[in-house]
Amino acid sequence: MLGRLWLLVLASGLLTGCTSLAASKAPGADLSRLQTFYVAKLPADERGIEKIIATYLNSKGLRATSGPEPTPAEPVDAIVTYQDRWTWHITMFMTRLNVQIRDAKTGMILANGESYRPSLLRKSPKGLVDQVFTEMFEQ
Amino acid sequence: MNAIFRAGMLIVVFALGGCASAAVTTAMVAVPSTPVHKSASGVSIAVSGGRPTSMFYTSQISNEGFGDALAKSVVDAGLFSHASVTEGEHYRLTAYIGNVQRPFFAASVPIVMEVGYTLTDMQTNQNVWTKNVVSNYTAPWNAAFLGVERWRLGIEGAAQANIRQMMESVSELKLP
Repeated sequence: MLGRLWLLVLASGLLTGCTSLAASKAPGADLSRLQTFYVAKLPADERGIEKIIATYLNSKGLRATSGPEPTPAEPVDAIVTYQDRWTWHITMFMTRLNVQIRDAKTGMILANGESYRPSLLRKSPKGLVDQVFTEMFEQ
Repeated sequence: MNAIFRAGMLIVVFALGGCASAAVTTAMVAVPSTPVHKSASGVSIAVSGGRPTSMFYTSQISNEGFGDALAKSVVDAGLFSHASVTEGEHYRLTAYIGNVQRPFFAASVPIVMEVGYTLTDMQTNQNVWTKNVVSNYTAPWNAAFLGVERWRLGIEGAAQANIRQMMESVSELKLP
């Protein structure tokens, strides 16, 4: 009985698919000129993902702040928005993270990145943030 | 075999049967809700930001599929007299698929799509129009049996709505 149950759990984890990591940049967008960022908190997010993103950007020598408002109080080069998806499989984990880097003046998306990871290949939120931004800045 | 194991095997079979397919071009072609201004000029179309579809993930929109849908939409509506993917036309329309938000799991599938458009007059090399178009579409729970198919229908609907909004906005420019 237990053996079959574990087989079922394993199969359901495997069948949620493989990992996916993709990023792209808008034509003519130059991310290297962006020095200051504001990460806008997703209203439904209660896990502080915006702080993790801001911490990542600061660790790369950029200047980033975060907050609950859609736009910052001080002018910045870019605004970062994100959508995170969590699901349960034995424990809760972040299965997908979408990130958009937007021109602060126009709101146009300069770059976007997405990472999807099923249960057996899960990463921490910090790991997904690192993965998505690394891929975006390499475009 | 006990009931739980049998139920689990059924779930496995259904999961395997639901492989994703790419958004279909013809399903993304848009018709404006009101007649648009008809331009005698041609337009070159360039799309980026699209992604290939993996059968193990969800449906995506490819650059080619969205570009073909854009071209057919603008020509059928008369917004431009002709459209091509090569350079040399009076106008150039670039579309960057910046964001396609979809739920992880849902009966009705709500999709939010953002495309950044830029229209350039190639004779003066000036941008005449730039806009980030955000569109929403929900594929209802009874649109298809398989979830992966509802996702694809949702993405196609959002793309169609996005193109429609773009055409209605460009029409206001009353281009020659």
